[in-house]
Formats: sequence, C-alpha cells, structure tokens
Amino acid sequence: MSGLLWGAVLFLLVNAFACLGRAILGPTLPDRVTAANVIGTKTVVVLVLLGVALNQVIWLDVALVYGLLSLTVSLVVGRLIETGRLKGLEEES
Amino acid sequence: MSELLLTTFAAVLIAAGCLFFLAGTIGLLRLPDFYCRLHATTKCDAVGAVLILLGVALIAGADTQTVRIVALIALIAISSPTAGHALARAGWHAGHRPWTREENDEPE
Amino acid sequence: MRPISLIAGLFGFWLVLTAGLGPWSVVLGLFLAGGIGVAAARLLADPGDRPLSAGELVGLTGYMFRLVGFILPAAWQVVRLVMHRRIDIDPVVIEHRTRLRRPFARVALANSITLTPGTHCVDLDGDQLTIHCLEPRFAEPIFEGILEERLARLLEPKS
Repeated sequence: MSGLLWGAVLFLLVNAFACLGRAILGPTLPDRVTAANVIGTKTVVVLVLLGVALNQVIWLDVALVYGLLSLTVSLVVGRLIETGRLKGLEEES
Repeated sequence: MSELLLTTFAAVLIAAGCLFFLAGTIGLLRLPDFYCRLHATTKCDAVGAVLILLGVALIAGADTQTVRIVALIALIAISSPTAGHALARAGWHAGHRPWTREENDEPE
Repeated sequence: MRPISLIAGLFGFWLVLTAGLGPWSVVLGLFLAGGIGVAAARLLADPGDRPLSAGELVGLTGYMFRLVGFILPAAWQVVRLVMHRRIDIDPVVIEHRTRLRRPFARVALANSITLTPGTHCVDLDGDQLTIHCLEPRFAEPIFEGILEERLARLLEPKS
C-alpha cells in the first residue's frame, strides 16, 4: 500500500520535471506560467501522498497552504500579464 | 476482505489519476499553442488531482487527514478552472492570437 | 456573504482542522476568524449582487456533482487526443452572449464551460463570453445552453 503511494509520488515527480521543460522552452510568458501552475497542482498532490505515506498530518496542512498560494500566484501573475501592473483597478488605466 | 477491496479501489483511483496527470503533461508538451495547452492542463489536472486525492482519502480512512483531503479536493476543483480562466484571459488581453490550422498545415 | 456567516464558517473550519477544544485553541481561533472575517467581508461583498442564500449554496453543490458527468468525458477526450500519434485539432474562437444576469451566475457558467469537453472560456466581459474551442463542433452544446438553463433555474428563479 505504501509502495503504491511512493510509486505515485515518483511518477508525479517525473511528470513535474517534464512540465519544467515547457516552462523553460516557453515560448510565451503565459506558457511558462501555465507550466508553473501545473507543477503547483502536482506538488500539492505529492505533498498529500507523502503526508499519508509518512503519517505526518502537518504535510497536509502544508499542502492546503501551498494550494492556496499556487492559486494566488496564478491569479496575480495572470493579472500582471493582462494589465502590466499589480495594484489599482482596471478602469483606471 | 473488504479492506482488500478498499485498497484495490484506492489503487485504481490513484492509477487513473496518474493517467490523467500524464495526459496533462503530454498535452502541455505536444499541443501547438498556449490556449490548447490550457485545455489539456485545466481538465486533466483537476480530474487527476481529485481522483488521486479520493484514493488517498480511502487509504487514510476516517481520520484528521481525511478532513484536510476533502478540503483540498474542493480547493482544487474550484481553483483549477479559475486559474485556467485567469491565464487564458491574461494571454488574450496581452494580445496572443490563437493557433489555427489554416496558418499552420501540420501540427508540430 | 455576510461577515457573520463568513466568521462562523472560518471558525468551524478552524475547529475541524485543529480538532482541539483547548481554551487557547478556541480563543485564538475566534480571534483569527473574527479578524479575517471582518477584513475579508469588505472584499467579498459585491454591491451589484445579493449574497448567496443557503438554499442556493446547496443547489450549487448539487450542480457541481452533476457537472462531474461533463468533466470526466472532457478529461478522457484530452487523454485520447494527446495519446494520438498525430494531434488532429482545428481550434476556433467563438463569442456567446449569455442571458444570465447575476455576476456570480456568469462566473459559474464560465467555469463550467472551461470544464466541458473541448471548450475553454477565454474572456468574460459583461454578458459576452469568448470561448476557445478545439474544434468547431464542440461549440454546439454551449449554444444549446443546457448548463445555462440549469444555472438560471438555480440562481435566477424569477427571470
């Protein structure tokens, strides 16, 4: 059973590195952010798998916070690409 | 016996989730442009993550861990399309034109 | 969402996560939930929209479960697409005007469209949806408006 969890962890890590290839290749900025977002989702799942495999509940808390931060990063960087800035309302520009 | 059944079911869920993650990765690498890649990643990541987390929740059983896993499933199910939408909109407003078949005879 | 229900929800989540009822845990939880609730209520309040009622929240949860019937085929379709030796797609961008009025309903529709097969919502501006489709035929269910119908029944009963 724990072998199953470790296998999934290994598989997802290999996947995450493949996604890193897209982050490096680009070619556009949204491509790279998409790749980063995908790696973030994989990281959350890997954290949960490791938390259950090692019986460490705190890893799941880390996964929760990581998931929220990953979403925030995507929203903020998306906004930065879209408007070119981080603060203020869209209507002001 | 029922425990064996539960573990098998969890294994199937986790394996299916891994398959969807793999499809998301391949899509991210193979599809021709940013919008098509988002198609692959938003759907496959949401489904893959939810399936794997469901499988893990079955293995963890009724525990303090399960509550967190259920919260994570809700978080991913909502955040994945939201992030995908935010990125697509960002690319759209930044002026990235979508790939079309007419302009490029062969997909890469 | 009203601040008081937000604070109650946050405090409930705190109790579930800490799984402890020690005095310090409860005091700290109340303090944090109150602080975050007051700070966030201002951000979550939308002056152009009434808050979601409890019944609508339950209806939306049911809607999300029924949406699974769309999401699984969508993901499976991507699996088949990318495993193919030659990727055969003909992407188009379409525009669709939604008849949904509430901002919340429109956002829910946009997210649902993203999760249905072959379509990905690109932009939402007023009632105008811009949708990227992998193939023109995937746009048909959107024009038929099955999901739109369900959301309208759930969130806009009168109109």
